[in-house]
Amino acid sequence: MKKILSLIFFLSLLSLQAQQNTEFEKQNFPNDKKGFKDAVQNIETGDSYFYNADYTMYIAIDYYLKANAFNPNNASLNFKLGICYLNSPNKFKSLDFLRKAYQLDPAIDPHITFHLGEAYHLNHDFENAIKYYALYKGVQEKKPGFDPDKRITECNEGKRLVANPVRVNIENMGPVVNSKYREYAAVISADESIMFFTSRRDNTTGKLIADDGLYFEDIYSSTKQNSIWTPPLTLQAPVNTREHDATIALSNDGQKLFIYSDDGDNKGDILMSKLEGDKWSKPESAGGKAINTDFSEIHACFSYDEKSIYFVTDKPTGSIGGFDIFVTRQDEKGNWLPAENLGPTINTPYDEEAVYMHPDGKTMYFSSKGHKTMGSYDIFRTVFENGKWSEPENVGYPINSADRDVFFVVSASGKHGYYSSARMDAIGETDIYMITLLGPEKETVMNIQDQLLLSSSILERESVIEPKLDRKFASNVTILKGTVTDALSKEPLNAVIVITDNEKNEVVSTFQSNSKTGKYLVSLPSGRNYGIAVTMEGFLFYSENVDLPKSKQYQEINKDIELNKLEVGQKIVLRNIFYDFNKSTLRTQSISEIERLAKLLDVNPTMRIEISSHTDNVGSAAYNEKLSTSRALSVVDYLVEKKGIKKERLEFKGYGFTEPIAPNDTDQGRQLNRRTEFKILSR
Amino acid sequence: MKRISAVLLMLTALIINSYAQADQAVEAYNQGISQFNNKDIKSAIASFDKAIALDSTLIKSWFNRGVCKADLSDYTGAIADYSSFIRKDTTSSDRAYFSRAQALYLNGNKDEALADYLQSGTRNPANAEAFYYAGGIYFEKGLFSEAGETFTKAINARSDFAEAFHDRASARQKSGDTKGAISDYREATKIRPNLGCAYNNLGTLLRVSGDMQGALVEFGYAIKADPKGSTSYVKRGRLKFDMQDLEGSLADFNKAIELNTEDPFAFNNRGCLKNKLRDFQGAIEDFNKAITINPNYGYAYLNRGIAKENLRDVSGACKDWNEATLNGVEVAKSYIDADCK
Repeated sequence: MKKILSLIFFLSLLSLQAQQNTEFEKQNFPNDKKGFKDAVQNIETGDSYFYNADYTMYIAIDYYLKANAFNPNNASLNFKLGICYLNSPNKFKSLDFLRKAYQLDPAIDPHITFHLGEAYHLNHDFENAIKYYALYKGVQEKKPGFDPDKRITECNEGKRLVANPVRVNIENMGPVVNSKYREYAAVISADESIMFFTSRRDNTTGKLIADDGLYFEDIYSSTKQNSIWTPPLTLQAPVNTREHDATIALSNDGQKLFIYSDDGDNKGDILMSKLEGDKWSKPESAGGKAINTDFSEIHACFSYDEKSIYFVTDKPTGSIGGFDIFVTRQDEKGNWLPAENLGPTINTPYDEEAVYMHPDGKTMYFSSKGHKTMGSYDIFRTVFENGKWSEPENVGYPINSADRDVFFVVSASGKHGYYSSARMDAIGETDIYMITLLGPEKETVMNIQDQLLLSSSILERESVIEPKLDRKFASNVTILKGTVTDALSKEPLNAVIVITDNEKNEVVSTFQSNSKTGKYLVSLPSGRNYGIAVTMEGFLFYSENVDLPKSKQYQEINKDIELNKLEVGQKIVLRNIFYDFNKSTLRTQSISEIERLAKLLDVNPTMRIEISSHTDNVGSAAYNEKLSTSRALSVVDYLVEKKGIKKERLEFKGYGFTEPIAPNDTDQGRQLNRRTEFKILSR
Repeated sequence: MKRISAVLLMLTALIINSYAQADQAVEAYNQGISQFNNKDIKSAIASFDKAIALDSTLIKSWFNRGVCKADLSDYTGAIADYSSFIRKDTTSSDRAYFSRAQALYLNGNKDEALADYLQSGTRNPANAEAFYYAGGIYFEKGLFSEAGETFTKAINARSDFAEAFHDRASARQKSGDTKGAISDYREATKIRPNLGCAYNNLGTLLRVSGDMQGALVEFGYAIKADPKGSTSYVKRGRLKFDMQDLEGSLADFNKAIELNTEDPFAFNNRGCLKNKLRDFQGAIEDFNKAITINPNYGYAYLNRGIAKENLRDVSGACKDWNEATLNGVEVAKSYIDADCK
C-alpha cells in the first residue's frame, strides 16, 4: 500500500513539474549548454522580429519554435509564439501555445485571457472563447480596441452560424493557380473566363523583398480554357512594378482592372488600368478626386453598367465610422460626381471593406466588422430594391469564419464564389479557393411499390412529387458576349456597344469591344427590354433586342456580330423598332433606334436610304402589304418630322410577307419576319 | 340393277367409313384430353389436330387445342383456335369468350380482351371473373370510373369476391373516392383476413391522407398476414421515417433487407434514411446496392447523387444526376442545370 502511495505521489510531482514554468536560465539546463546557448540565440533573433512590427511577427515563429523545442515549458516563449501566430495567416495555431502559456503562468501578460479568448474564437470553440473573454472583462486596464463584450456577441453569432452552415463546396484552386507563397484578392470576369489575383511569389517584378520579409505583391492572371485554369502569368509593366501591386476588382468584361496603390505612407489610392488590345495601360487614378483623397482608399468596384464606382475609404467627411463604403456616379458628360456614403444600413461605426457589386446590378457583397459578424470581418450580402438596400445578411459559415473574411466575388451565374483563405489544405500560407454555392440541401426520394390490382401482376410505384429547387444565390442576369468583326475581312473591331433601356428610352451603359480580339461582354440584369446597338465609324450599326422579364434566370448568350461597311446596297434589320399590334403606330420604345438612324444620316448627309417593313404570313397578302407600307411610312414620317431629315433622302416600301428571313411555321420564325429594315440606296 | 346395287354398296361403305372416321376422331379427341390431363401438351395438340382432320364437326377440338396452345404460351395460335370455335358455334358459351379474352390479354391486345370479357359477362351475368378481369383492363387503361362500375358487377355476381372488393377499392382510390376505397379495402380483408396487400394499400392510403397512426396499424396487419414478405416492412419503414421514428424506420428497412436481399426499394429507402442520419457513405453503399439490383433505377441514382453532393463530391453527384435523367427522373435535370454547369 505504501509503495502505491509513493508512486502516486511521485507521479503527481512529475505532473506538477510538467506544468511548471521553466525560465531560460543556465542553471536550469546544466547538461546541455550548447542547446541552451542556441535556444537563447533563437529567442533573441525571434525577438528582433517580434518587437519590430505586427507584420514581422510571423518571421519570429521559426526561431521561437526551435527554442520551444529545447524548452517547451517557458510561459513567456509560449505566449510570444501564440501572439506571433495570431499575427500570421495560421492564426488558429496560436491556441496550443497560449493555452500552455496560461497554464504555466496565468499572469504572464495582463491581456492573456483576451488573447486566449481570441485563440479559442479563431478555432471556433466559442464556449471557451466566451469563458476567457468574460475573464478579461475583469481586467481593469484594457488594451485599446480589446472589447470583450463585442467578441462575446461575435461568439454567440458564431455558434448560431456554425449550427446552421450554408451548403457550399470549397475547393482549393489547385497547384496550377496557387503556390507555396500567398495568393489572395482573386477577381473574375462575369463569365468566369478570366481571373486576376495578387501573389507574393518569388518571380515578382524585381524579385525584391518587402519589410515584412515577403516578396512584393504582383498581379497575376489566369484564363479558363476548356474548364481548366491556365498557369498564371504575371502582368507586365506598367501594371506590375517593383513595388506592391495588388488587385482590387475587375470589370465584368475583364477589360478594366482596379489596382490598389500606396506610396509607402499607407494612404492608399485606387488606380485603374484598361486593356487596350492585348496590353494593359498605365494605371491611373480611378474616378479622380471623387474617389481618391488624402485619406486611405483601399477598395473599389464598378456597378454592372460601369456608371457607378463603389469604394471604401476612411475619409472622415460623411463617414459613419472607420472605413465606409461610398459611391460615386458618372454624369452624362462622363464626370464622376461627389461621392456619397451608402448610409447606416450598410456602414457601421466599425470598418467595412472589400465591396463587390454583382453583375445582376442589385446585389452587393462586402466585408464588415460591424454587422452580425462571427469574428473580425465577415462577408455580407445586401440587395438594392425599391430604392433602398436590404438589411445586410451574413453569407454564413463556412464561407465566413472567425478570422478575417474579405475579397469575396461571385460569378454572374451566382453559382461560384472566389476568395482566399488559410485553410488546412492550403498549398501556401493563403490560397485562392472556389466556392460552389449549392443552395439548400436536396431531398432524397423514397419509393414504395403498390400492388393495386390483384387481377394482374402489374405493380405501381407510388408517384412522388419531385422536390422544389430553392436557391438563395440564384442570379437574374443575362451575360451577352461574343466578338465584333468586319463582315468582309473578319478582322476584329473596336466597336462601341450601347445598351438602351427601351421602356425608359435611356442609355443604360456603353462598352467597347477589345481592339485586338473583338471580344465583348455585357451584363443585362433581368426586368428590362434592352436595345443593343453596336456601332463603329465607317460601318453600318448592328441592332439587337433582348427582352428579359424580371423572373428570367441566369443565362449566357453567345452572339458574334459582324458589321457591314457603309456601302450602297447594304441593309440591316432594326430590331428595336416596335409598332402597336396590327397598327402602324410607333411605340415609344422605338425612339432610341430611330434616333440612332437619324444620327447616321446626319453624319452621312448625302446618304439616301430605303426604309422597308415586313410582316409574317398571318392574314391576307393585301392586308399585310398595306400594314407594312404604312409602318415603313411611320418611320419615315418620324425622321422627317421629328429629326428634320429631308424627305427626298428617304424612300419607304412595305413588302408584306414576300421576303421572309425565317420559316413562318413557328412563333420564333414569325417574330423574326416581323421587322423593319433600312437599305443604303446611295451615299 | 347391278349398277344400283354397286352405288348402294358404295354409299354403305362410305357411311360405314364415315362412322369409322367419326369414331377415330372421337378417339383422338379423348386421347388429347387424357394427354392434356397428363401434362403432355404437345401430344394433346397432335391428337386434337388429328381429331379435327378426321371430323371437322367436332368443334370442341378447336377449343381444346386453343387451351393447349395457350398453355404453351402460343397465344396467337390459341386465339385462332378459340376464334374458329366461336365462329363454328354461334351459341358459344361465355367460357369461349372468357378463354379468348385471356389469350388476347396475354398476347398484349387489351382492347379486344376487354370486349371478350364483357361479351362473356353479357352471356353469363353470373360470371363474376369475366367482369373482374374486364374491370382490371379498364383500370390499366386509366378508366377508373368504368373499372369501378365493372368491379361492382363482379361483386353483384359474387358477394364474397374479396379480390373484386380490393380492386374496386384501388379504382375508387384512383378516382379520388378515398372513403369508398377505405371501405372496400376493409371489406376485402373482412372476407379474406390474410389479404396482405389490402392492408398495405390501406396503410398507404391512410398515410397519404395524413392518418399516420391508422397507417401504422394497417402495415402491422400486413406484416402479420405475410410475415415473410419484405414489402410491408419497406412501407412501414417509410411511414416511420415520415413520423420521425428514424430508429424504427431503420429496423424495418433492415428487416426488409433480411427477408429479401434483392429488394431495390428497401436499399434505396434505407439509403435515404442514412442520408438523413448524415451517414452519407453508408447511404451511398445502399444506393449502390439498389442500382446493382436494378440498373435502371432512376431515383437511386438521384439519391446517390444527393449523398455524394453532401460529401462534396460534386462531380460524382453530377454523373449520377445525369444517369437519373436518362432514367426518367425529371428533377435531376434541374439539379444538373443548377449545380453542374
